Amino acid sequence: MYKRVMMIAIVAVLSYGLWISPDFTEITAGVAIFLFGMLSLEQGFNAFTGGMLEKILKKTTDTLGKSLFFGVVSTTLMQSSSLVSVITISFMSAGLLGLAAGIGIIFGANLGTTTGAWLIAGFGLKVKISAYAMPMLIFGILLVFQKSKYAKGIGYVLAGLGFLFMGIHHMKEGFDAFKDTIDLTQFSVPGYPGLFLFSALGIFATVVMQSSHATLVLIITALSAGQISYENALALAIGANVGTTITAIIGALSANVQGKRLAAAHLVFNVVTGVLAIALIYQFVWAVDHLSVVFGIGADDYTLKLALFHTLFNLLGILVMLPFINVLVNGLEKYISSKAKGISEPRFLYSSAIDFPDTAVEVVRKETLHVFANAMRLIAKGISVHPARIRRSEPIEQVVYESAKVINVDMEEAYERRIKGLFGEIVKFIIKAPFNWQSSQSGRLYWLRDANQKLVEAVKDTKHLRTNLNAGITNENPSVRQAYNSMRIQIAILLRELYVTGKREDENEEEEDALLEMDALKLMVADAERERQQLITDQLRAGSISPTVATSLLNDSGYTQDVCKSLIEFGETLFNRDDEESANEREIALEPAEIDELTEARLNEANSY
Amino acid sequence: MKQTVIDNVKDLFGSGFRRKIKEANSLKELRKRLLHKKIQLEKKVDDCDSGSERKLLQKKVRVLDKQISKIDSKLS
Repeated sequence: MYKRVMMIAIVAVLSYGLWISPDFTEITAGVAIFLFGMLSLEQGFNAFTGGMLEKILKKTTDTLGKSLFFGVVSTTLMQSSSLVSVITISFMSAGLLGLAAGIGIIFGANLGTTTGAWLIAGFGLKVKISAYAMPMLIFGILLVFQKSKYAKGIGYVLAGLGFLFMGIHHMKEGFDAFKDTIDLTQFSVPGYPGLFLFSALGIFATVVMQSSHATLVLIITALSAGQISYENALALAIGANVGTTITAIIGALSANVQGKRLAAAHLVFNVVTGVLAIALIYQFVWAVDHLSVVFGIGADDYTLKLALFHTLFNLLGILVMLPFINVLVNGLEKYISSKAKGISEPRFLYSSAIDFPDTAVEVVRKETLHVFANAMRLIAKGISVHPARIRRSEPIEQVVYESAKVINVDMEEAYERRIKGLFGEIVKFIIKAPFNWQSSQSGRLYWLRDANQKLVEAVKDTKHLRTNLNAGITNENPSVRQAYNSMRIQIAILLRELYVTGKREDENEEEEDALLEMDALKLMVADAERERQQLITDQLRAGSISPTVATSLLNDSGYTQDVCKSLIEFGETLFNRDDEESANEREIALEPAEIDELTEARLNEANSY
Repeated sequence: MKQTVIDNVKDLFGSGFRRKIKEANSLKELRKRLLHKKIQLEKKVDDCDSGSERKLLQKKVRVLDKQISKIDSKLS
C-alpha cells in the first residue's frame, strides 16, 4: 500500500514538473538516461562475473587490508558500489567469504564510490563529455549484438558509459537553463537546520533512484550551475551516502543471515559516517579548504571541493570504524542470528546466487552435502546403526555389533521429509540457471543433480533391504545374524568413508584425489559381495540355513550392493570437477577390469598358480 | 611438405607440446601425492584394530599401487 501511494505521488510530481518546465524535463530525462547507463554498466560487468570476478574475489580477500583494497579498486573500476555489495552478499551467503572480510569490502566500496564524484567534478563538467557519448553508444551497441559473451559485456559497458555521459550532459544543460528561469538558491537553508533538511533530501533522492551515484551527479551539476549552495550540497552528499544502503538492504532481503548482517554493517557504517560528517561539518569544511590549497583546487571550485569532502568523510568513517570491526562482527552475529533451519529446509540455496555461476555451483554443492547428511542419517537408521556413531572413529565392527537393537524409523515418511523436498528445491534452482553459462559451470550443476539422484536411489534401496534386515539382526540363528551384520558393516564403512571425504572436501573446498579414493571403495564392495556369497553357500552346504533363507539373504545382499554402488556413484559425481586435476584423476581412475584384477579372488587365483 | 614441417614445428613448440609438458608435470605431482598417501596408509594398517577397516586400508594401498603404476606407464 505504502509503495503504491509513493509511486503515485512520484508520478504526479514528475508529471506536473514535466508539464510546467522544459528545463525540469531535461534534468529528469538526464537522470533517467544516467540511471539507464548504470543498469547497462552493471549488466556489462555481470558478463565478467561468470568466474573471473569471483576468482579474484576469492583470492584477494583473505586479510582485512586486502578486502578493503578490493572494495576500493573494484568499485573504482566498475563505478558501482551496488554491484560490489550484491556480489559480496552472494559470496557470503554461499559461505565463501567471512563477515569481517565482507565488511572490509563494503568499507572499501564506500571509499571507492567517492572516485565517481572526482570523475564527474574533475572530468565530466570540465570536458564536453557528450562528444564522447555518441561514439561510445555506437560502438557499444555494435558489440552488444555480437555472439561472444565478453564482447557483449564490453558493449554494455561502453553503451553504459555513453548513457552516463549523455545523462550528465542533459542534467548540466537543464540546470544551466533552469538558472535563467528560477534561482533555487533562494530556497537554501543555512546552519544546522539546513544540514538536517538537505541530508534528509539526499537520503530521499537516493532511496527513490536507488543510486547514490545518480544523486551525486545531480548535486554536482546543480552545484556547478549555482542552483544549490555549497553548504547544502555537502548535506545532500551526506544524505546520499546514507541513502545508498537501501540497495544493500533490498539485496539482503533474499539473502541468508550472512547477507543480512552485511547489509546491517553497511547501514551502521554509513549512518555513523553520516553522523560524524554532520557533527564535524565545520571542521570538515576547514580541512577541505586547507587541503584544496595543497591539491591545487581553486577556492571557488566547489564541485571538486565537494568531491574532496565526500572522500574525506568516508575515509574518516573507515578510520573510526576499523578498530571496532570485531565489535561490529560480534554484535551483528549476536543480534542477527540465524533461525535454526529445519533439517528438510534448504540451507544454502537462495535466489540471488543464480546470478553468479561459480557461486551457484558452490551453493548447490553445499546443499548436496546437506542432502548427503540427511541421507546418511536415514540409511544409518535404516540399518539400525546410530548416525552419530558412524561419524565418530570407533571401530566399525564394534559399532555394528553393539547396535543389536532395531531402530524404528518410517523410511517412507523420512524420505519424503528429509530428501525429496530438498532434492526438489535443488532441481528447481538448477533449472533457473541461464543457458549462456560456460559448459564447465552448467555441466557441474547437472553432475550435482545426478549426485542427488544417486542418494535418492541409495535411500530407496535401503528401504527394501530393511524389510528383512530388521528381522535378520535379531534372528536366533547366528549364521543369519552374521550374514546381515556383514551387510551392515559394508554400508556403515562406506557411509563413514564418504562422510570423511565429504567433510574434507567441504573444509578444503577442493579436496585433492577424492575421486581416486572411490576406487578402493569399489574394490571393497566387489570383495564383500564375493565373500558374502561364499559365506551363504557354505552355510547352506553346512545346513545352518534353509534354502529359503539363503534366497532371501542373496536378494538382500543384492540390495546391499545396490545401496553401495549408488553411494559410490554419488561420491564419484560429487567429487568430479571440470579442472585439470580432476581430468588427470579420471584418466588414472581404475577401469572395472582393473578393479577386478585386484579382488581377493583374483589375487588368490594368481597365488595358487 | 610445407604442411608437414609446419605440423611438426607446431607439435614441438605449439600449444600441444606445452599442454603435454603441463600434463606430465601435473601427473608427476599427482604421483608424488599418491605415493605419500600410500606410505601414510601403510603405517596406518599396522595400528588398525578393526578387521574390516584394516582390510579396507590394505585395499586402498593395493589400489594406490595400481594407480601409481598407471601414471608411470603414462609418463614413460
